[in-house]
Amino acid sequence: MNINFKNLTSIYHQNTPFEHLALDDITTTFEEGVYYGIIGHTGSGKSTMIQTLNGLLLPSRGEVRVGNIVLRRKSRQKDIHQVKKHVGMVFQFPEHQLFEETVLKDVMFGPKNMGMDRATAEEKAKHYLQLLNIDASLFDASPFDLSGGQMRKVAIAGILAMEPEVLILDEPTAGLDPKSHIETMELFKRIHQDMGITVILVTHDMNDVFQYTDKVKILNEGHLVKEGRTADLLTNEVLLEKFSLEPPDIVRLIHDLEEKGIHFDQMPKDAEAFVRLYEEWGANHAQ
Amino acid sequence: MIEFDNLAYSYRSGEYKALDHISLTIRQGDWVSIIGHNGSGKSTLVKILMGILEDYEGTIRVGGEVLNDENRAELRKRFAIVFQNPDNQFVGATVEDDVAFGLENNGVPREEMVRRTEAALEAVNMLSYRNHEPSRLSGGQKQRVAIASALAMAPDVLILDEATSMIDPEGRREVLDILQKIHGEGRTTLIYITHDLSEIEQSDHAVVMREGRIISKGTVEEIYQDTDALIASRLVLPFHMKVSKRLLGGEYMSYDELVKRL
Repeated sequence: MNINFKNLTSIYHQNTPFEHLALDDITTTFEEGVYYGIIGHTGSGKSTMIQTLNGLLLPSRGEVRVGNIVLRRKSRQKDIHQVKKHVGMVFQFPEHQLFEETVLKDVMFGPKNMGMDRATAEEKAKHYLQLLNIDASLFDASPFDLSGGQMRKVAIAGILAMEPEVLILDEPTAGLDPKSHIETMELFKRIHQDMGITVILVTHDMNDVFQYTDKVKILNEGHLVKEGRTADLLTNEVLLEKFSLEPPDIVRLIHDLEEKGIHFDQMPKDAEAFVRLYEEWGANHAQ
Repeated sequence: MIEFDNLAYSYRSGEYKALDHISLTIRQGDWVSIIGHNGSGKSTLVKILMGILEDYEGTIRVGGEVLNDENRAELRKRFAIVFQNPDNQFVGATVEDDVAFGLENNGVPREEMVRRTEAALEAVNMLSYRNHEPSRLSGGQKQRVAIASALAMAPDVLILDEATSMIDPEGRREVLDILQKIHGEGRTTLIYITHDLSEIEQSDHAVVMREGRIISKGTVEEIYQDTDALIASRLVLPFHMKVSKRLLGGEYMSYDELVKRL
């Protein structure tokens, strides 16, 4: 299922002195099965874009097409509800939205709300809890008795149990310590690979965007200024600087080494891959 | 000067998991970073300092005076804190009102209140935003206003409890720049709580905590040198340190040095 934005404009507080153009005439496609990054400075329109993607905000002009459903300025609740079925959103601090008496009930809430019968909802809930390594012994525990990391996993299981075809991640690692940060990003990578769903990541962490996403869309002051393969755009330092974005650590290092005359024929994704590449280069260089 | 002597705290009796008999001296005017994973004890330490947890073992001395039930309220006025979430710490309708709030509460005369509010906003480069609504600021600006509110109280010690973990990279830089400036003036002790090793570079000293204990302490270079202790404490090395450790051995070097040596 693809998502298409067609001449989409989003205006806050329209016809008031506070009128603000958040997204300006955006036409773009999110293709099925691709892991996307949306990047841009604070205030560039990232939040507006993802809220439009799952029907939380309706376009002021233009349209967003999610599969066969089209959302416009005056779309009806029924269509919005359909979009929410297909597009799951993991908000910042998703664990703050837990509310049920037990872990299992909490995860079942979303699927039931989407019209799944009780038995199926329970089956889905158990499946996704297990996928996220939440032990069956915790199913009847109160979600509020779990550790912070477990609570976050339960909240994510609740989104996955609705079996969305598109998963939006809004700064999913904000406030996490470094180890949990890595674990969370690896978890979404696994979900993307195993379930084959489209993932749309919004973050300020350029290292994560570089390491995990296939394609990026760059927003600046409400405009979609550039889109393309992550490997092309995030290695283009002139482009990044133009929109006040920092290059990923690895890109900065490779470029600084190039200035010293050390050239590599590929761009590694992380420190480990760089170490291997450098050692190879060293071995060849010594001969 | 703040001295912790054999400080211990447990959330359940009989265990010392939260804080396990730590001793530490922080000199006036120093910038000390306390680094640790979630659950390492760093937040417990802050809560004790702020008087939120009172039932601890051991002693705390502030300026040579042992903290006790009689002087706790008075000594606590020497501490101010900035929390993690920039959206949870505003009370005023404007930036200026927010900074003045604490002073007003303490009955500071109006003229002095205006002077101290302006000086605090000036110190964090936010004076031109004095009439803005706090909720409309960026994350970095919000945290700078929170720092101004703390500074207006003229504390001896400013505690920053993961104050940059929820804001964007630019905001983080703004906050660290402001702290550098405050540190340069030499009056205020900074206690900087973080789990991000790349944020401790500007501090004078750093302390690594794990499971309620101090694993290592020293200058930032000394802390960076002991990568094994950092990794064992569930901390993640900054990118350039990962690369230099793997390719050039244990010796700590800056990013520029790494590029030179490769």
